[in-house]
Amino acid sequence: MKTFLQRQRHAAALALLMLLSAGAITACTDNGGIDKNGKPGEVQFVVDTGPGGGSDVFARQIVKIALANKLIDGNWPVLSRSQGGGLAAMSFLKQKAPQPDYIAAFTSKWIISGLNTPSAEATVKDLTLIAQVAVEPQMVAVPANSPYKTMADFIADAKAKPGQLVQVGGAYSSVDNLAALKVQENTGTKWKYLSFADGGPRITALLRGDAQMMLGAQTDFSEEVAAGQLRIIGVMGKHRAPKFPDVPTFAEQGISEDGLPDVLQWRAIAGPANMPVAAVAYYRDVFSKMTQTQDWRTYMDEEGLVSEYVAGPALDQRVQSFTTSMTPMVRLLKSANK
Amino acid sequence: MSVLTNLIDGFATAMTVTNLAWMIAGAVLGTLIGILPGLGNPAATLAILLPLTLRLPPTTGLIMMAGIYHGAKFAGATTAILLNIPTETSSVVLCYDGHELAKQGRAGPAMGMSAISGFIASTVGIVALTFAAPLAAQLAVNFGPPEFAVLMFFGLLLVVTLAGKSPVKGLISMFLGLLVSTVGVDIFTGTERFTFGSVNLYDGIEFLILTLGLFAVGEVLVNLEKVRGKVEKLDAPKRLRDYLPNMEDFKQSRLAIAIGSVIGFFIGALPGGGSTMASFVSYAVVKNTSKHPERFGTGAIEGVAGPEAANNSEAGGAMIPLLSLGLPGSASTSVMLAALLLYGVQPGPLLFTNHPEIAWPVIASLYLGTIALLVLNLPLIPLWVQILRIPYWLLYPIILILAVVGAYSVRGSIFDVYLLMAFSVTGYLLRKLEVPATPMLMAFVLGPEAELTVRQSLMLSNNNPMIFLERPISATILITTVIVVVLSAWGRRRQRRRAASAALHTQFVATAVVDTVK
Repeated sequence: MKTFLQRQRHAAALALLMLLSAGAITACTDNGGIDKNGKPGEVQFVVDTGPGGGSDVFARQIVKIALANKLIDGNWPVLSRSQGGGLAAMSFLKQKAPQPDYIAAFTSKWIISGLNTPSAEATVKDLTLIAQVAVEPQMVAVPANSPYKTMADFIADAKAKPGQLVQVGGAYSSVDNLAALKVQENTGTKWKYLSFADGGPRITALLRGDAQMMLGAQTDFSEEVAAGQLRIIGVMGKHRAPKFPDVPTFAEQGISEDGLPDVLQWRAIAGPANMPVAAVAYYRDVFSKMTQTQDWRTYMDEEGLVSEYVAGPALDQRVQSFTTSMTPMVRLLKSANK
Repeated sequence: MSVLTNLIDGFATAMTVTNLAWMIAGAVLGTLIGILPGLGNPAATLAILLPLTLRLPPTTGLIMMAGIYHGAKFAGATTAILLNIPTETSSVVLCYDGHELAKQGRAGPAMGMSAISGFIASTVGIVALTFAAPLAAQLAVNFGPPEFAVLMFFGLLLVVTLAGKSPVKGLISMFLGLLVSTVGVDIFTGTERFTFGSVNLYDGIEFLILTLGLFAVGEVLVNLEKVRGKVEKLDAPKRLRDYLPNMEDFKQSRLAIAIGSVIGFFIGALPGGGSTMASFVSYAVVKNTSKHPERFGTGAIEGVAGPEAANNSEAGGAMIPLLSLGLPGSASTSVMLAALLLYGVQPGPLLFTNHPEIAWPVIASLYLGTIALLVLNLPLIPLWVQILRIPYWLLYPIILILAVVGAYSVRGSIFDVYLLMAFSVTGYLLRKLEVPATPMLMAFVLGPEAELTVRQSLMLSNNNPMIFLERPISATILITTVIVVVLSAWGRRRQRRRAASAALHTQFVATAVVDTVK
């Protein structure tokens, strides 16, 4: 009996220890105030990818450039909340409201994630939008030995072989699939969408000929294009890509982008809801100065991003119009799935 | 032969005193951080130390990362062997034989064999990288969804065959693993599966949570039941030479190291292939080609040498998609790629032409890393083995704290800590019911890839299953799998028949003897 009791006490003590260490972790949240200039204390930069992912690298680059140009005086650690393509990051920020010492690198993907998940704990509405700093032009790549010289060639072939051609990309509900579905609707065509979780296999699927095309950002392809493995056949949006001045836009090729937002992918900074006005002003000051530095311009060129600082009502409007045009597309996606 | 000259240049750059010092520092740090369950996998260790390495010049920083990578990999093997806690997916197989060896007081030889076979395999990997790169690069491109699907099918079959005494219990465990692996948003259709509307389950369950619960905490819970003082303590070796593998061990492991090195290199060369599949396939092949497959799972040293060799030559193979396509083969190479980006170097197929001053020294240092590890860790093995001497009243609380901290730190989510507790109970129950936990963990790792690749293949072929036979590589793997299964079934039957006839013979002799006595 005694040993039994002893055993029980032992187990209870250990269980308590586990709970205590769990509790100690939850208690580790600090309250950062702001000084009279609106400058917060220890800033943490929340991202929606793991180490090495797109937003993680982007946030680290921003911190690096801001530090090098003396716009901030200490390192901002990057904090990963990767679940649900921005959903976890948004609910994390919601819990932190209205603290000024948390900011996040957010992309248009966060809006899609919110639209896809009616039960989401937090959406973009629960954030303070600070500033958009860059837009990421989307373009179409095909293997170098592909018969398609232009996007119009691809569309013509897709018309001839409905439901046979394959586009490769990320998750089914990602922006590239949504955009492609709209183009299919506009042009009266239909093709398949092959999902891969990682970027590497997407490129090999193109090289192997399992997929005929991919819609993505310049960084997804630039090195392969330079090495002569892939070719760009069309650019979405109003402008040609500076790095590929000979590649015509969809509109120039007569492919309708009706119903698609002007900008499909952007990179912006947000904070928790009701962030103090002084803190928002501080961040806007830092980021607008940062987008004017030479380091930033170099980085934008390397990554095929276009520097575009948008803040205040203009940003709210951009987010609003994106949401309005994406809502029917998410519905379209769900119906295509059935 | 330009690869060879470039590689020699790379070695020359890597072998400056500063670079070597940082690499050694990296290997030590990597081992120390990696030894903590939860922080243990190489990708996480690299991520933790990323801010530190970024302060160094690019080449030195990347060389240090190579050191960290190897240190963490060795640490993963160490925790699996000593404590039965696989902190990274590629060390799960070590629990079959590595921990059994530790239980027999042979932890030292197991760890020594892990380091030495790793070193030999890295050598094979780097030589293969120099000479077989074009072949492997072609393979890397040609390996698509159908090829991966049959490879995963092969892998899942192996899970069943490795399940141990009771195939039914092995199957139960495997299906549990498959079930748990389906949790999350399905990327193919965007449908939520078993998420119960919680964002914490959107991206599925982290490997580390499952392994810490099933293995680390589960083991502690079971041992708590035993009356204090009666928990059988693992033997730590007493004499110095017991800490290292002996000649007999090497003789037994020769073939296993060779097989592991070759398999590891080619699987490592597949983008997304990774060290898990490499170590796992290698274990199965070593077991099936052994004259005494029955020794596996009871502490066979080849069962450590084979997978560890594969695990290390994989690093050489993983450089191939990076070299030819600019694509990372594993989570760890992804982190290294991220570091390249932060240094302002765009990784891609042109990395090796545009930045040879960075790319080749890194490959060279990946190799030097294994030497550093061997030199540093062989003498330290006796020290690590002392972990086994820590009294349980101290060791168990330490494991629990580390498990909780580890579970939290993966994604910074307290939900994962609760999940850890749930899996700990599962681990406890499995042990009580004598259901092996390893098949569950393996199925969890292989399941999502198996499912996804089958669906991708069928999508490509418009739901025609013939795609698996029409593509030459997938057909080859499939046919090999069938042959292996048939042969091993036949072999087992013959063995059983021989055993049965032997038994019959004994019975016959016995009755004859009885008769004569009468």
